[in-house]
Amino acid sequence: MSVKDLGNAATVTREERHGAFETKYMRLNVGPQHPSTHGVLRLVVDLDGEQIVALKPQIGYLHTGFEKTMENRTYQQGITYTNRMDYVTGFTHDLAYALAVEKLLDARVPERAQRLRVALVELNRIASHLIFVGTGLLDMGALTPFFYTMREREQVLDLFEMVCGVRMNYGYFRVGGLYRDVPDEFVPATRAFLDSFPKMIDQYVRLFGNNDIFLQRTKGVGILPKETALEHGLTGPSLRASGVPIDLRKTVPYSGYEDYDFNVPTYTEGDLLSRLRIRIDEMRESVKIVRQAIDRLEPGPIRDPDRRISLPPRSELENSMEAVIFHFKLVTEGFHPPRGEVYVATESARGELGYYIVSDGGSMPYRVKIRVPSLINLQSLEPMCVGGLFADMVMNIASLDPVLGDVDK
Amino acid sequence: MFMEREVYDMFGVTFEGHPDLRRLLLPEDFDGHPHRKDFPLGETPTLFNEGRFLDPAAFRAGLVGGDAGLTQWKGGARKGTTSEQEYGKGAGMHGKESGKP
Repeated sequence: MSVKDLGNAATVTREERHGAFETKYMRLNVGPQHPSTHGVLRLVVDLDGEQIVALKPQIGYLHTGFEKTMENRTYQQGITYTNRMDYVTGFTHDLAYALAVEKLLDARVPERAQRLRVALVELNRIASHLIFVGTGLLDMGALTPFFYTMREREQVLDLFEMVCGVRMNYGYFRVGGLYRDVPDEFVPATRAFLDSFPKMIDQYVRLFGNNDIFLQRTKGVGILPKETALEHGLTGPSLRASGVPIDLRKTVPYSGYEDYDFNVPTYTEGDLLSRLRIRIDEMRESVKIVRQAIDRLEPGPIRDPDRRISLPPRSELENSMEAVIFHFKLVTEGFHPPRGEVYVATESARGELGYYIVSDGGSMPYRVKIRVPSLINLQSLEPMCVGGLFADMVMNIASLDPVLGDVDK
Repeated sequence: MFMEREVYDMFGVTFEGHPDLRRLLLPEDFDGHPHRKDFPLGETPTLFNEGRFLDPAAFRAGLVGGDAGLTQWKGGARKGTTSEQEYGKGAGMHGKESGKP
């Protein structure tokens, strides 16, 4: 039976397919160690022939207990853990955590640091969406786009390496600003990338956009209606592909996103094709945001000058006793935010990424709760897959773009 | 769904009317709810297949010749922690199979 004969598989009843024959469901265990599950995701799938009748994700294989660990580290040390959760977009996690602690402290982040943060987060979004497009098509059997997207992602990672010395697990943001200023060659290098990148996106679209096999396997497959998506708490690009134009960068602007001119691409179909297209459109929007951010970059401080939050510069330590005291206090015990609780939500490449932090007035958070988008988006996998074909399940996983480090934290 | 399951897993809070309240991230036979403040931090002895047993405190003590860790937590909360003597001897990484640390 071909894909077309099956039509919308969800409407075909068991009796219609099997008639008088009584077949048993087959229970299949997919993963956790399987390349198409994008990490250590394990799925228990009940199959009726090729059709999925039930699906349950089993997660936790990468559980590291980051939240508990962060409760036993100072606030500034928390940055070390945040970017290790979602290792594909580390900067977005760092930003959300830094924003939450800054809100608690009422810290003032200088203009330059905010612009650089926005530029880096958007570049990170591009890198993440490039992985999405590459690996998503790889799951479909298209090998070539993977090499193309990885080629461009390499350029973005080179920019990150220039800024903070590493290509993963950046740890570059600090509560109150940034670790240090970007090198002089960062801005021209970013401009060069931004000039060449939109042409590369056109190249991808030419490569697979009109491919008949690609369209047959994505158009009208894995449909998630608007209501179902909202019921299951889906956020991010996947939700916008189902026709809900919610983007936290527009609805609850943070880090000065209200000053940038960009659109929120939305599709109404809610199928695999629109979930892929929306990422491609978002990359174009991110290019616009990065360009605006680095155009408005002006020289200035990159950290909150408040000595109770950020370390004094090295030069001050040699002639000021007070600076030495502040330095000592910050290094040994860190700062003490006032008692209270705070929740900050940001738009990560996968959806709503929120940090809820409770402070008891000490130098370590009393409780850190992270609303990770990958985990909650994974709830939508079941309605997306049930009734569809098993071969489409792999692409449905890819279309939600889960990062298992983010799911299991 | 997942959010309630996570809270149940980490804190032991139960939700009425939840269709599928199981542990989310931790193994089903895990004892205790680790995000509670009274859950001991670190030094958790871990049982592997076939009775192979790793007690971090004893393992480290075997390496450095010191006493068993900072917290002095003797386990007991996890299933598979058999007896007191096993810790006392510094069973180490190989457990019953060999005496070497």
